Amino acid sequence: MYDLKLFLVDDSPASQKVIDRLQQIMEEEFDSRFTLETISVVDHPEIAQKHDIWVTPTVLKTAPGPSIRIIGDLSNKNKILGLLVMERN
Amino acid sequence: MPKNILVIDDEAAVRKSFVLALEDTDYHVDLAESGFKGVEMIGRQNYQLIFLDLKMPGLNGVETLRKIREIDAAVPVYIITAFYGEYLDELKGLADEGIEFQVLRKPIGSDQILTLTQIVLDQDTGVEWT
Repeated sequence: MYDLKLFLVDDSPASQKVIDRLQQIMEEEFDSRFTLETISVVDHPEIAQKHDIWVTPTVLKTAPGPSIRIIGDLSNKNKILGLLVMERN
Repeated sequence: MPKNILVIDDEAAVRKSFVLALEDTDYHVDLAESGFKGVEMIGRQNYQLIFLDLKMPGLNGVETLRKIREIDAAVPVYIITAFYGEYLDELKGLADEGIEFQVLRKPIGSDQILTLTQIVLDQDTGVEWT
């Protein structure tokens, strides 16, 4: 089960586009075997602080381990999937 | 042709930190010490990335962002701010106005400046181990 938190600045159309694309990538690859929680940094800065989020948008994968943060372009399916399954050397 | 970056911040130390972080790259970095100056520069020059301080005397970050969007609706703008409610509250409502931006936590390190700049300008994706 993949547990993802997506930190965004707000609920703008651009943010919704990022949510929709990430949801689509996860559904295509993992069916329903994932959770995707979206968090507004503007509304909940304390959660961003807790997870050491320093820029938006950021995806935090907390499970399965290792825990990673993904930043930048979140629309490239191959890159996102490659990073999600990457093991630390 | 080098990609142009503009840093708008009233603190000289912050402006210098961006110059130092990006000095070994091919990017061209311009600096503005106020929102007024930044907006004026954006009117004269195309930028591919803008870093904008939220708390500034005169034209603050939010007011500056509104003026930037009148000139350039698409350029990526990262607002530099502490991640505390008292600061971030100022940004609420901008989405309702259709004003796009991202936030970048202050203080920011050289590695983060370089990483983020490369990722944004190359439309790339980066990973960090937590």
